[in-house]
Amino acid sequence: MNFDADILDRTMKEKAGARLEMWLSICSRCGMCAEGCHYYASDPRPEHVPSYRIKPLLDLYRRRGKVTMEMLETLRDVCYGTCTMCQRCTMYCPHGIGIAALVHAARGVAAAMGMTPSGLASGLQNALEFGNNLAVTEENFVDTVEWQLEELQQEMPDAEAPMDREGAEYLLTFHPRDIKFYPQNLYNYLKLYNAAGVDFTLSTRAWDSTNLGLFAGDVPAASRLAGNVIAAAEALKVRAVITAE
Amino acid sequence: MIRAVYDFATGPMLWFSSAFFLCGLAYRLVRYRVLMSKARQGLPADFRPGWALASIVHFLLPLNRTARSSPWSTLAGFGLHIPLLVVGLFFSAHVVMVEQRFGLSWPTIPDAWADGLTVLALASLAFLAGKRLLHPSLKGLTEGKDLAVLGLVALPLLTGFAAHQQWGESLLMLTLHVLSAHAVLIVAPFTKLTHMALFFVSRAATGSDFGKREVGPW
Amino acid sequence: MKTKTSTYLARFFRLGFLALALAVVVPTADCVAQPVLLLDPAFQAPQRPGVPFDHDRHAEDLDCTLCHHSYENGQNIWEHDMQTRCSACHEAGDRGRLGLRQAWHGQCVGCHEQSPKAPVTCGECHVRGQERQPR
Repeated sequence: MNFDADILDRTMKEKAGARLEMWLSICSRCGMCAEGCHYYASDPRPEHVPSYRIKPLLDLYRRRGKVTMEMLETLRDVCYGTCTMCQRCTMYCPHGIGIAALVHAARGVAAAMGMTPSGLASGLQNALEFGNNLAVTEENFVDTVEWQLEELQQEMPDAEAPMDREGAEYLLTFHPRDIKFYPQNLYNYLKLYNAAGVDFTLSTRAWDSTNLGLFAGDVPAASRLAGNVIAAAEALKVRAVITAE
Repeated sequence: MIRAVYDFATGPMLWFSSAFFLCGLAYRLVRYRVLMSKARQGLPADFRPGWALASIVHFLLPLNRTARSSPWSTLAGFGLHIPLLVVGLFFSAHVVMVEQRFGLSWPTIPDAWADGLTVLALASLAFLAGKRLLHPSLKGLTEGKDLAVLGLVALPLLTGFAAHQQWGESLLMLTLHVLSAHAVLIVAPFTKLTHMALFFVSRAATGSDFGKREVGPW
Repeated sequence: MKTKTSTYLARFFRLGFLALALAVVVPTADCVAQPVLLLDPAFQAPQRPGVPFDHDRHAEDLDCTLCHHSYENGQNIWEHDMQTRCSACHEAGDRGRLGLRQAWHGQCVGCHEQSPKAPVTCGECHVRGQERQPR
């Protein structure tokens, strides 16, 4: 399987920013980051040491031009399969190296080469097309909300779930899972916010609080997805957005 | 013959190595600044200097999580760096060398302290080398050059200590000491030894980044 | 005619005289014919051993006033029999150019750096294992 060397070259030049260069060069491979990593804590393998995860990226930079498919596959397996980008490692690194940020950059390289793992890639595709990563249509979303509201009103007659209400204080966003697979969670959210007397609204336009573009390392996609929510929030003139995670 | 090498090492080579080292570090700093400014164009400035400084202070002192989770490595780290600075700057022979060259002088530490600190530094290096070879978390990480850098840093300490104890021929040992120090200076800009300058940059960047969320990375 | 006894006596007296001369070597470092130990008592806590100094060898080729000095109104008025203690003018606690340490070093280092065979490193002059007493 071949890869487009031009795209790789361009992506790497793009990613080679000030921080990335600096961090890649001062990592002294001291291993103290391992103490902060939950992957390492549950399974102390050498591959689970955060510093190890940036090696494929470093290798890629060192060998400019002379890159093999195998190296890219290693990069993909390491940066997607051994990290959740939680940034705990950065808190333990004496230099404060943003290892999670470097993993994100590595993911960006993989994404640009079309090598995002399939589950993540299809979720991202859904998000870009439907506005949420589980391809729930607007119709289904509205239906689900109405259904759960009806159920809730049996217990709380005054409960409401305003859709696109301008001027509300908060915009609620959800994990698509809570709409498609676990609507009882939606029920509980509505119950919670109604009981708390919070002035909220939902949005038909942008209700997904997850950002698979961020997870995939696809920066343009991530910006677009975040931009959707921001645009909805600004259109509805809310004070703040509440995310599900 | 050795005298000729000694004269060269403490003469023109001194200027060359120091300049090379300083220029190398300066280059890295300037390059960082330039790349950063390019990336920041059009974006609002969001650097938090207070958080950046706090981050630097929290890691120049052992006031952080890392000191708690890796106490021995932290000890070795300070056990290496503090002697390097203190002996480097305040050992009598070093100050006398500057005195003789430039007429500048400043207080010195007793020679016995320098001996003790050097031994501490060498022990710390030994610990770090041992950790590299034995600790499971470093199995996949350690490269040959990591051990080489440890060895390189140990050389001026070993030869300096030997010269002070007057083991072997004084002129030879001191020449080796000066040459090994030059080696460190020249190699430094190409290795992770650039952390001498970039530590502060990295800590400032991370401190500011985490500070945006009103939390510190410690 | 010299008898054996008189030869021995003469030798004894010569040695006796030399011993006496050596006894006053440190700290005044007077003009003497033997290697002397330079260790100025004005230094309260010397970090280095004293320096063995071959005065004879130096006096052979060099002008006395190159090292021996006593300045008055910018002129070096030192004369052969003057007893000069370095610490009389150069303070032990002074780290400046005219302080005692820099003064002592200044006596030797300048010329030694020019001469390829002369000792220049700390350890070549401040040799360990030397007794800190005059021989």
